[in-house]
Amino acid sequence: MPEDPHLMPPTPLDDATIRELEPFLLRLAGRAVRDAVLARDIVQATFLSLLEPTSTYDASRGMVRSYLAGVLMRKVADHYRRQRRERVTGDFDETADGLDERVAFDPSRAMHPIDRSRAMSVIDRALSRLPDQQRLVVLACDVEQMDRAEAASSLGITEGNLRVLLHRGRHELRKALEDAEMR
Amino acid sequence: MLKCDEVERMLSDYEDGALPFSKMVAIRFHLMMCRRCPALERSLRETIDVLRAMRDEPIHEGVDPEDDKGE
Repeated sequence: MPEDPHLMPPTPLDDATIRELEPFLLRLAGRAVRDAVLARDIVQATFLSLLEPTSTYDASRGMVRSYLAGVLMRKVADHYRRQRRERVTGDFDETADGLDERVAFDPSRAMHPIDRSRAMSVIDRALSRLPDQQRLVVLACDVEQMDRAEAASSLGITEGNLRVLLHRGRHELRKALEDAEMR
Repeated sequence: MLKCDEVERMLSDYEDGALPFSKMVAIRFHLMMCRRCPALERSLRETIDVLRAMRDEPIHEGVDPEDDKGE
């Protein structure tokens, strides 16, 4: 029976959108949960969320990419919550005061660069040790290179909080790289 | 001239060009004059460069965060 176009809900979810956004969402989910099957499930659920009657997507308020990234990160956060049985919202409470922390740094420790592939391996592991929200912010802003406004909107946090989380996350990773360079 | 701790707090934003022009210039000037901060800036920039390069790298599943502790 031919589909009745009048039965289809209005949605930006067409094949071209899926083809364009799927690799981005799979990378984001894959690095966040480290499980290809789970990442694919999360991405599928993220796309399907647009078709749900409860979807809050409003094309006039922003790009579908930002909306889907936000849905995906909430699903990842739910996964973290279930997995670790700990509250993840605590990280969102950080304020700009967090930038007042001095970042421990010994200039003599930055003198022995390691090769790029080892650096990636070190940082990849250090990423998995970051607090959940710091990890998501670094993945969004640095690995996926989303702009700050889009990343903050997707995560449902202010740009000020994102700035703090990014500052802390980057410096933790920098320290991990320095530690590796010292060995 | 900015103090080192002020520069440290703004370096992450500096790397993204996310500061007002006057602050960007002030930090650049500090980096030219300071003996300590340029190494921190290089180290942070290298970290961000590595993260950006990771986008198209294969994802390693189930990474154990403890794995590299003994390296």
